[in-house]
Amino acid sequence: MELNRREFMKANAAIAAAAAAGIAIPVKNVQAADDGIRWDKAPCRYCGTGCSVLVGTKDGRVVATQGDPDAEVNRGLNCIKGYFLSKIMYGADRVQTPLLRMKDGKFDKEGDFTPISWDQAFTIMAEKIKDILKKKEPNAVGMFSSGQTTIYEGYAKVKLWKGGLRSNTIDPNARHCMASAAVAFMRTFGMDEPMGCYNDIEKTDAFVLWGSNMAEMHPILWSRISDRRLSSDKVKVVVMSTYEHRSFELADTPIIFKPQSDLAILNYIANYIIQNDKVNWDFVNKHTKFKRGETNIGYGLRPEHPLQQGTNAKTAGKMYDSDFEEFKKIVSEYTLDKAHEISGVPKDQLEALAKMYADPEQNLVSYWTMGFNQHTRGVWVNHMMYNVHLLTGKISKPGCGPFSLTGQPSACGTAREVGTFVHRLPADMVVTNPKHVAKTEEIWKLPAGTIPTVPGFHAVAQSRALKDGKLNFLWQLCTNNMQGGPNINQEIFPGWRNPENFIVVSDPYPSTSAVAADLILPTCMWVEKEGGYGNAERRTQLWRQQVKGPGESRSDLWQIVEFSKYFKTDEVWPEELLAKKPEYRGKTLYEVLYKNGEVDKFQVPTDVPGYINDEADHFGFYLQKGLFEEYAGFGRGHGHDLAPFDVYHQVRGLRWPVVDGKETLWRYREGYDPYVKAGEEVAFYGYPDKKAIILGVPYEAPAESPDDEYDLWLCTGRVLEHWHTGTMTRRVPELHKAFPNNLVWMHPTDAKKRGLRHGDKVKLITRRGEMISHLDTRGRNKCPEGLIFTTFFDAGQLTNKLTLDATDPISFETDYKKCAVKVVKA
Amino acid sequence: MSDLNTSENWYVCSLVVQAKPAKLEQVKADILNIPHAEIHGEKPEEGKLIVTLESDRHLALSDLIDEVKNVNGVIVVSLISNYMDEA
Repeated sequence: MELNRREFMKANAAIAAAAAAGIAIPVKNVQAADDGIRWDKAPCRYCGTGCSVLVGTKDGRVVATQGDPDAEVNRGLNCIKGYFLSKIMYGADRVQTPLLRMKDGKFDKEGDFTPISWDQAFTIMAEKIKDILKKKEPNAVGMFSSGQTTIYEGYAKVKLWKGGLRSNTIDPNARHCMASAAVAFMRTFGMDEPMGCYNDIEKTDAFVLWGSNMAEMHPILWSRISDRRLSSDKVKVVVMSTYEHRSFELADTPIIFKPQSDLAILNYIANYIIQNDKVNWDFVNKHTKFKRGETNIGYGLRPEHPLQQGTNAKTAGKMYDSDFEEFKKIVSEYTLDKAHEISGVPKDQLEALAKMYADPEQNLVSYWTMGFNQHTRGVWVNHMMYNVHLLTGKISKPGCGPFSLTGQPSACGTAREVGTFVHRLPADMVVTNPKHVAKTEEIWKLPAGTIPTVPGFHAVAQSRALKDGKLNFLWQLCTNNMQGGPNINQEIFPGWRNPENFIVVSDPYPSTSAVAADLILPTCMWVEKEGGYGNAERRTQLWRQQVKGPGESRSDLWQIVEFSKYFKTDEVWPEELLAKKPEYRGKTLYEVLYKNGEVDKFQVPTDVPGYINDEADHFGFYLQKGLFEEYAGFGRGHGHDLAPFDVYHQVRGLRWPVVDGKETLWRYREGYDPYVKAGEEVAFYGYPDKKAIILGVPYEAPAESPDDEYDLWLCTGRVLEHWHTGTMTRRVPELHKAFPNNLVWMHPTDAKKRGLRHGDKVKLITRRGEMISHLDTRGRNKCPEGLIFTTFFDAGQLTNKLTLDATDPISFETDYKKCAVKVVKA
Repeated sequence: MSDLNTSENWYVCSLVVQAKPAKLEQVKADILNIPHAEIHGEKPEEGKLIVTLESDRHLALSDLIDEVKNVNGVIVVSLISNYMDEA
């Protein structure tokens, strides 16, 4: 290629970077070339930050990406995962056609994967479901979805499952990543999702990271935090973790604490605030109320497990009316001495931290991710975080607040807001509330009594119910539970291969899950379809299809909606339901749920050059817009207001509630949130009394701790180059190269004690399984003595054969962060 | 430093590198030791550098990004533009 053009591209790249960093550089005089690239925007498909990316396509392929300079979240930057966005769709092993396990021309659970048509795939799936529904309750038919599912897809899924097949067994992988956060939001504020937003970063003077490695997991936010920190010496960064990671590079106060002791540290901070008379009484009296939580709540294991005996597991979620005096008494136990003893953190660090929270002049934001949420007391630790912010009134205002980060691009926008959980409906409604059910049935134009009121099997319960033969059909989309789920050997794999069950996996690639299934459906990803995501700061972003998927690939949306044509109401609804809406007799679920006069009332735009929409071509209407507008009807006027569909194609996302065209930066605060009335100052309007809950709960021990035999803590997580189970990132050769295989990080002293050296091949053994890996005693993750860290991206090293399926008893989220392990030379 | 085989595929990306301001001079020297890395501009008070990397193999470019990330003193590496010119 001619030098001029490449010089031009390089200069352009440098200029874009300089613009993003606010640096002036001399523009080189190079000749422009018409490169024929078509540019459009899309949110990045990796984490929950919600960066906008400019995607360049040429000849039907993505050939370039650039950080979107007009995006408020990332301001022209992308993290290095963005380098792989242009390649994730082009792995050589994309699944191109439905594949069914067959022998002698028929489905056989032990057969080989054989290409079939979509019609054959849907026919056998529908047969299996109809057969189960004849014998069992609808909850025996399950779906496992994802925080990466688009808003439209999540909504179509919930509608088909809860409103069509009448099963509440639909849960997202988000159960594994932020259910504890979502449940604690609902319990504390009566409403899900953070009150603040990323704008807090530029307005605060202190950042405290609790169990979050933002430098690797949320690098764009980390770059904003770095900018803020380096702009002024009065800005401080506290990084807290059970091991040392990359975020420690920027830390003014690096704190290593023992697993589970975050509970003791937070109760100590609450105690400190009270003992030093730093309670913001005006705020506490006006805007909060006190409750006491149930204690001794078990570990969310099977009921017969020894650890569940004698516990209050059945009433784990109960909150009893209480008062300040009782709360004061509960936290009074957590003195500086005791917090130090439980956590191992030096006293001066603990006291300095407590002082930051207590000081009324100190603006402060707390961030957390999986370290808090993947915790057998995940709901409690989230509550405790709110306790200290509520006691001091450091919440819902610029530069102050507790902020739960998310790991998936639409854990908030889809899993939580659309409500793809066993108990949820759109806009924070639940199936156990008759008013919510009636409202949903009204919007969906369904006869009263269609939506079942008993929650189905949640994520970990799905694995157990499959193994026990209580759940007989599972359709997994947009996730990889056979690698990402806990305790694979004992709890997941047996259920998938149980001859009574039929397992379907929709995936672009032959993931660990796909190859363990009975039927694989080829799926379109990211800009191969039109989509929408909602990030961690309540920002809804939509994008358009930019390329076509390979072979017979179809989007999840197409799959769900097309599949609904294979059911007639008479086949899946009882007579009493049909009698209430006789006009639905003989209709397909497609006609009832999607071609219902609402979802099918729009047509695609005709004035957008290069516009493609495979779903609209197939179904004959603008399916995505219809679903979005019907869904938005749930939240408008109820604090979840979304803007009109078309607006989102003009902007880089808006943070809900969007009222009169204006987004909301700080919820519950007068002057920022349109739902707070004049004179109220603050109103936590999720509850009728507009008061948030301060919950008194103690420290309780983890489900499993190191002992003589399994003598180390095992903590699991991610590294920047890989994303979750690696189905997408492992396909990109560059990524693979950058971080070829999983490692186990260990303190050099622990290695020496075991006769091990850096680079050695080692075997990790827990009570559940074994894994071979390699030792790293020098790398960027530095473990304290007594703890090892490893990741779960590598399908060749299934870390989750080791992990315990202990869950938070309230949120049912798995604790991937702590179990006991031994390490020997392999 | 090996020369690029410019007759076929070519890849370029630009980065904003943020480092501890006190370590910036050493960080710059370390980055310039990486093959085909160029520094186009800087903002010393914020520890920021504008860097481009190029390569004739997509694979190799990602290794280069990783090298930048692992330079001592680097806090965060952000990707800005990413172009490929494949034969």
